Amino acid sequence: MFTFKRETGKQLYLGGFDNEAVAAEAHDLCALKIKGFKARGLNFPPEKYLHVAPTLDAMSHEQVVQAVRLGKLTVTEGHLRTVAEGHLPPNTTLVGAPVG
Amino acid sequence: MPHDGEGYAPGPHPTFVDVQTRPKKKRKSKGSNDATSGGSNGLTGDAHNTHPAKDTDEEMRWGAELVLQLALGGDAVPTPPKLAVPPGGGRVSSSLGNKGKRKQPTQGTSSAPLSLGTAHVLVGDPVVRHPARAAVSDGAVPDPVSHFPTPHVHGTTLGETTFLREASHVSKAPAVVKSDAVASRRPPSFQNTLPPLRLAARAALPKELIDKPPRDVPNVTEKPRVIDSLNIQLPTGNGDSLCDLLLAARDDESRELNVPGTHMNLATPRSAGNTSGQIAGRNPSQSNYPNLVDQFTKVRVGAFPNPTTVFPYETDTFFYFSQAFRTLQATAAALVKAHADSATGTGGNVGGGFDADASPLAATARWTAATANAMALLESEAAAAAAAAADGSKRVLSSAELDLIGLVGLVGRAVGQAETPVARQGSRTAQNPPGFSAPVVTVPATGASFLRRPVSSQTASAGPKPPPSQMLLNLSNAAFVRANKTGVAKEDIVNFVHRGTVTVGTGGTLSAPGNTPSPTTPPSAKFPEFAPVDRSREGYVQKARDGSQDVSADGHPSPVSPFKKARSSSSFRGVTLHRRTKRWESHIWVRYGTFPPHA
Repeated sequence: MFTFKRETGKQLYLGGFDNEAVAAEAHDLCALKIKGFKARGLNFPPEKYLHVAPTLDAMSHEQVVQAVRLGKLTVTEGHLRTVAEGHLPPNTTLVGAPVG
Repeated sequence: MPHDGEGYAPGPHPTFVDVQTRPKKKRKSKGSNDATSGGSNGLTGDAHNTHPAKDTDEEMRWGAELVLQLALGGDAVPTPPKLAVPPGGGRVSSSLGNKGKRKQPTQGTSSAPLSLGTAHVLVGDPVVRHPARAAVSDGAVPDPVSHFPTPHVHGTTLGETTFLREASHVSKAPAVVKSDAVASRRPPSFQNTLPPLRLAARAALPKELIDKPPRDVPNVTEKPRVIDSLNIQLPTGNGDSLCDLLLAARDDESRELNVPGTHMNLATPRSAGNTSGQIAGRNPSQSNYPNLVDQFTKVRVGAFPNPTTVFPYETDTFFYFSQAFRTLQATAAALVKAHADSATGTGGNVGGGFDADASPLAATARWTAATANAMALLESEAAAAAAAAADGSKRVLSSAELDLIGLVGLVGRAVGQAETPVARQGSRTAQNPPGFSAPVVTVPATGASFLRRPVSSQTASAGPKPPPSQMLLNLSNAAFVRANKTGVAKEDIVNFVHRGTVTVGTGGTLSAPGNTPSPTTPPSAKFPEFAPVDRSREGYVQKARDGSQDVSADGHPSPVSPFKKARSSSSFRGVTLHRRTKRWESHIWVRYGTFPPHA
């Protein structure tokens, strides 16, 4: 499990991406997961990741890092704001809303 | 004194030597020689003359056969001759003095009396050896634990070498000896109570045991990592979780923006049909965000971009295509209409009918108003496209978008605004047809300095107006007219592929320094996802950190080579460029802590 450490720490590889912005999003996703909502140093405003928040909460840190590293957890830009969620671990499914 | 009788050791002759009892032959067997030196052996008589020559030959033959077997890697160790090494004392000598016979297997149990002849009988075992070692010598199955029970204690009685010392010698032996006498080649590890599996035995095991051998101590404290699919619950009660905070922020935002359907609606009953049966029985109060979750149930998108899709662009690219094309159509129609209106109004200059009743000033005002309307439409779309292009930072703009930007520059020149580099850059003429396939325009967002100019009818009419004839002349240079091919500068085309930089100015809008902020609605209001990073928000990395390359101190973009400059670093935090693979790599600094940090 990862927590943030400022002074000394390890550099966690989050994957290589063809697009620079996607790499920045990968950093933001992991930073949001690891450091929390009040993480500073995000590349994009955290409102961008609103729709990913349930996914991030449902996954563990390792799963987030793994999914980001594999390029399975991305935040697409544009007016279609969707999450590619084929990334979850094998037995993981995002469960829909409870009936209200 | 083994060599005192050989002749080259000129020691003093023994005083009392009976010539008659001296051996007739020279002693050739070292074992027999050592047997005399070993004082503890229980030989009852002189053993020197009891070794015949055929025993020596047999020993030599056995030695040769052993060497051959060792060289060939065979397992069968030749049976040593019975009389090659006398028991007891022979073992002492071989382990102490003679290292050449190290690999010579030990004989059988020396407690059995061997017949050295009729006159000599070995009585008893002269060497008290360890019972485990004796068992190995007997050919017992070597068990690492029982065979070496005291590995670190120097070992046996009567000065026999310890196991560790012998084992170290054996490990230096180059040849493979699979003898029972040499049980192990390495110092034994006593943690493993099982002998090492040989290949045949390993192959006989079931595969799951080979893949995952049973551990001695199962790690029961390890938490299961697999998330049960039905146990995932969206965060409800914990207000500190990321999800709650983000959703609360979204809720506030959607309330402010009055976006229907995005903020939480607790009172809205939801039918049970669109959710799974597992969820149907859940308490509705567990989720405060049904709309958000509903997006997750409905929208399931795979890998993006979808490799099976024929359309090779991203979705937003397609969106830009459609928007830009639609905008271009509308703007062209509006411009042509405005042109026609002004042509009829000031027809004397162009050749149309001159209407004396209509005031030229009124016609100009009409023209300006129509153009301003078109420009307002153009501006928002082009700014959105430019912002998006700046956001994507590497995107081949479509020809429609290039047309759009060019049109903006052209109209800006025609309206009579000051010549901005963007306007120069954006102006397209017949030499640069719409089908012109420009190279990769990395960030053509220097258009922001022009696009942010207030383009309203008041501003346009208040600005310096050229005479109508000049306006019409400039309009005739438009791309869609294609009548006049003059007035095309080469630098326009060169600058068209100019690599610009987004300058994230104050207020979060795209603006060049020195320009007044626009009173018009920013494109971020129309397209919130295109909104640039707001500088007022703390903690966000400014995207245009490397903007000093292209923007000089006075704020004007310096001319840059049209060739694309190789980038070596990213303006994003945690993103680096791998030089060899040319890919953007993402990193984050973490430390390994305790699990879990939040629970």
